[in-house]
Amino acid sequence: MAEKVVPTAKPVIVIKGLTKIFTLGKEKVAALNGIDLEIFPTEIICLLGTSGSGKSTLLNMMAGLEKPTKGSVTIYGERIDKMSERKLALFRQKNMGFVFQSYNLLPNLTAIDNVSLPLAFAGVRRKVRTKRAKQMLKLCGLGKRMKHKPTQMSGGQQQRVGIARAFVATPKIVFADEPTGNLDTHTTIEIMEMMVRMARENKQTLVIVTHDIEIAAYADKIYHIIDGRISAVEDNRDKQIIPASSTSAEPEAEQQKNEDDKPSIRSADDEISGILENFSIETEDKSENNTEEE
Amino acid sequence: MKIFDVIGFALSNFLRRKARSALTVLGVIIGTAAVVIMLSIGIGMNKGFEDQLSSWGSLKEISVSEKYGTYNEETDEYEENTSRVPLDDITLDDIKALDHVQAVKPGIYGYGAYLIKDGKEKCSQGGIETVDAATMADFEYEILIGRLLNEDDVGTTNFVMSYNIPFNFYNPRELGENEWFAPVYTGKNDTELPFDPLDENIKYQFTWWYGYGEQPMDFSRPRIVLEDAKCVGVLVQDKASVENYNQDYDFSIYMDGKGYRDMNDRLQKNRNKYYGIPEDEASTGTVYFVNGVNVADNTVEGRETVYDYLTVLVDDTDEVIEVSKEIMDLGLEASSQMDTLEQVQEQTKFLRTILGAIGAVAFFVAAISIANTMVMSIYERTREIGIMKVIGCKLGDIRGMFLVEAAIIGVTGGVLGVGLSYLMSMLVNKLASGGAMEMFGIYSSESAISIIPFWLDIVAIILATVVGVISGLYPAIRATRLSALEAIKNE
Ligand SMILES: Nc1ncnc2c1ncn2[C@@H]1O[C@H](COP(=O)(O)OP(=O)(O)OP(=O)(O)O)[C@@H](O)[C@H]1O
Ligand SMILES: [Mg+2]
Repeated sequence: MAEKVVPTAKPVIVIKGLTKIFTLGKEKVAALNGIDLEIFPTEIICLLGTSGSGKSTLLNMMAGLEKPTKGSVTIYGERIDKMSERKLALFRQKNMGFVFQSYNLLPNLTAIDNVSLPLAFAGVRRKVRTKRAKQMLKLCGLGKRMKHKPTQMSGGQQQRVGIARAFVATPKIVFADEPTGNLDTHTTIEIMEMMVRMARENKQTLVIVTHDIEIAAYADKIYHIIDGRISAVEDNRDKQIIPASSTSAEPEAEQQKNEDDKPSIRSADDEISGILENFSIETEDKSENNTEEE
Repeated sequence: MKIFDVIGFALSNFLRRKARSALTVLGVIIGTAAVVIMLSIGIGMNKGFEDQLSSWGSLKEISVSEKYGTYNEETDEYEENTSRVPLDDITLDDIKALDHVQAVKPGIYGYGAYLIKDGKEKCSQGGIETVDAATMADFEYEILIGRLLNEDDVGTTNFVMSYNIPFNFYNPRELGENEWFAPVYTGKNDTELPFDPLDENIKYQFTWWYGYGEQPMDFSRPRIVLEDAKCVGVLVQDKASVENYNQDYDFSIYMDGKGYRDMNDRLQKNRNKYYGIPEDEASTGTVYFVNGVNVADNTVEGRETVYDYLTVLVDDTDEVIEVSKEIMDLGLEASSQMDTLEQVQEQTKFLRTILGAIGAVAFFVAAISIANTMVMSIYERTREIGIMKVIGCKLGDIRGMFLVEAAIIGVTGGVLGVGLSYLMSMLVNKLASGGAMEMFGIYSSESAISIIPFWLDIVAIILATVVGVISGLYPAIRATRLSALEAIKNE
C-alpha cells in the first residue's frame, strides 16, 4: 500500500459522515456531528476551533486511535475505522507520523534513541537508524543535544526531538495536535516553520490541530470547527506564511558554526532517500512476515 | 522490530529499576534454591536407601527359590503347589537362557560339613556356600589374598574362605569343662590374619560329623573318612550377604556346586557305612515338610530338587524387576533388593512429595512476585507503552518486551538460585554429616543427605525461565490491550 502511486487528484484521506458520541452515564456528548472531509496529497491543512470543539477527537479518529460512532475514515483506500489493532499498528508504522502537544518522548531514552524509535519498530538495523536519527537531529538544529535525555532539554528542544521522530521514517502523513501549545511565540514560529518546511520538502501531507489563528496561517487550507461540525473551509494559499530558506530554522548556537559544517536540507535529503530505499524494502519484508505469523 | 532490539528494550527496562528487579530476582533465587534443595534431599534419601540395600547384597541379584504353595487370602488357607518346579539343572538352564541373565549361582546350604585344619582344629562357624566356580568372578566377591574360584575349580573341592574363617579355628579338646562352643571371633579388616590360610603346609579337610573330635573315637565302627581340600583365596571382610543374613558378617566357605555335591555324596556314603545303614534305606535328597506334609515329591515330572536356592545375576539394574517376573512365570519364587527398593521408594514417595511441595510453594510465590513486578512496571510505563503503540510499535513486539523481561528475571534468578542451592546443599550435608540419615531409617549409609545431580541444575534453570515467562504472560497481554489514547492522554 505504501508503494501505491496516488494521483494528485485523488484524496489521501476521505472522511464521510463522521460522528462521535461519548456516553457518560446518562449524558451523551456529541463530540463530532457528521464531518465530511477530503485531504489531498502534499496538502498542509489545519483544523481550527475553540477548546472542546472536537478537533482532537477528529484527529484521533483519522489516526485510528479512536473508533467513530458513525461514518468512515478511509486512508489510501483502507478503512481505518474497521482495521484491527494489529493492522493499525503496522499501518501507522508505515504511513503516519505524530507530533504531540506534550512531546511524548520516552523519558529514559536519549534524543537519538527517541528519534530512531519508529525505525527500530520497523526493524531497521541499529547502525542505519542511528545514522539517520543523527541526520534528523542535525536538521532540527539539535546537533549538540543528541545524547541528552528529555529531562535535560527545554520544551522547544523536546518538541524538535518530537518533530525529528515524526519525520524520521518519512511517513506519508504527519499529524500534529497543538504542536506548539506549550511553547512561547518565538519558539512556536521556529517549530511551525520547521514542520511545514519538512513536510513540503518530503511532499508529505500534514494535518495540524490548533486553536491559534497565527498557526493556521501556515496551512494551505483551514477547516473551522465549531461544536463538532465544519463551519467553514478557507483556502489559505494566497495569504499563507511561507517559511524562509532552511537556515532560518537553525537556532542561534548552530548558526554561529562554520557554514560548510551546516547540513543543508537538500544534500541531507539525498542521503536520507538513499537510506530509506533500503529501509522501505526492509519494512515491507517485515510486514509480510508479520502477517503470516499472526 | 528485530528480536535483538526487543531484548535490548527488555534488558534496559530490567536494569532501570535496579532495586525492584533485584528483589524480584531474589524471590526467584529463593524459589529455585528451595526446589533444588528439596529435590536434592529426596534424591539423597533414595541414594541412601540404595546404598544401604546394596550393602546387604547386590541390586543386580535375584534370589530364586521353589514355590511350595500360596496363601489364599480369600479362603484363608494355604494351598499346596502340586506341580512344583524344582531347582535342578533343567531350571538352571531355563534361567540362564533368559535375556539379561549374566550368571546363575547354584546355592546349597552346606550344613553338616565342617572344615578341619591340620587334623586337630575345627571351625564350626563356617557353612559351605556353593557357587558356580566358572562365574564366581561375575558376582560381587572381593579377594584379599589368593584368588577367586575359576573354571579350573569346577568339580573340585577347592574353596575360598570369607575373612572371618581363619579367626575361628579351635581345638575342641582344649575347651574348658563346661564350654561347649568356642566364642565367635569377627576379624577386623586392619588386623593381621592369625595365620596364612594359603600356606602350602596347612592341611585342610572336611567332615560330615558334627561332633568330630569332641568325643573319644569309637574304633568298633568304620573309620571316618576326611575329605582333603585346598584353600585358594581369602575374601575381604564383608557384611553378610542375603543368603546368611542371620549373621552380621560373612562366615561362609565358598566351593564349586558340583564339587560340593560330589563331596557330599562321598561323605554321606561314609556316614551310612559308619552307622551301618544299608545303601537302599539311606535317605537321598532333601526332605521338606510344610504343614506336616512331605512336599518333596510334588514336583513336575517327578524331577528332583538339587539346589536350595539360585542367585541370578542380571546385567542391568533396570532389568531386575523384569527378569524377576520372567522367573516367576517359570513357576518359581523370586525376590530381589530391587523389590525392597521399590517398596521403600513407594513408602518415601509421600515424604518426597511433601519436600517437593515445599519447594513448589516457594516457586509459586516467586512466580506471583514476578507477575506483580511486571504489572507494577506496566502501570508505571502505561504512558510509554501508549506512545510506542501510537508511533507504530507492533503488539507482538510490546508483548515480546515484557515476556523477555520476565524471562530475564527467571533466568537470572534460576542461575543464581542453583548457585545458592549448592552452598545450601554443602551446608546441609555438613550439618547433617553423621546421623541425619537415621531420621529416614537409613543407618548404614555413608551417602550425603543432599545430592544435586547436574540434570537438576539444568531443569531448575529451565523451570525458572519458563515460570518467569508464564508469570509475565498476563502482564504482557495486559500491556498490549492497553488503550493507546487513554495512555497518552493521562498526564
Ligand atoms: N473520552 C471522552 N469521554 C467523554 N467525552 C469526551 C472524551 N473525549 C472528548 N470528549 C468530549 O468531546 C468534546 C471534544 O473534545 P476534544 O478533545 O476533541 O476537544 P478539542 O477541540 O481538542 O479541545 P482542546 O482544544 O481543548 O483540546 C469535548 O466536549 C470533550 O468533553
Ligand atoms: Mg485537543
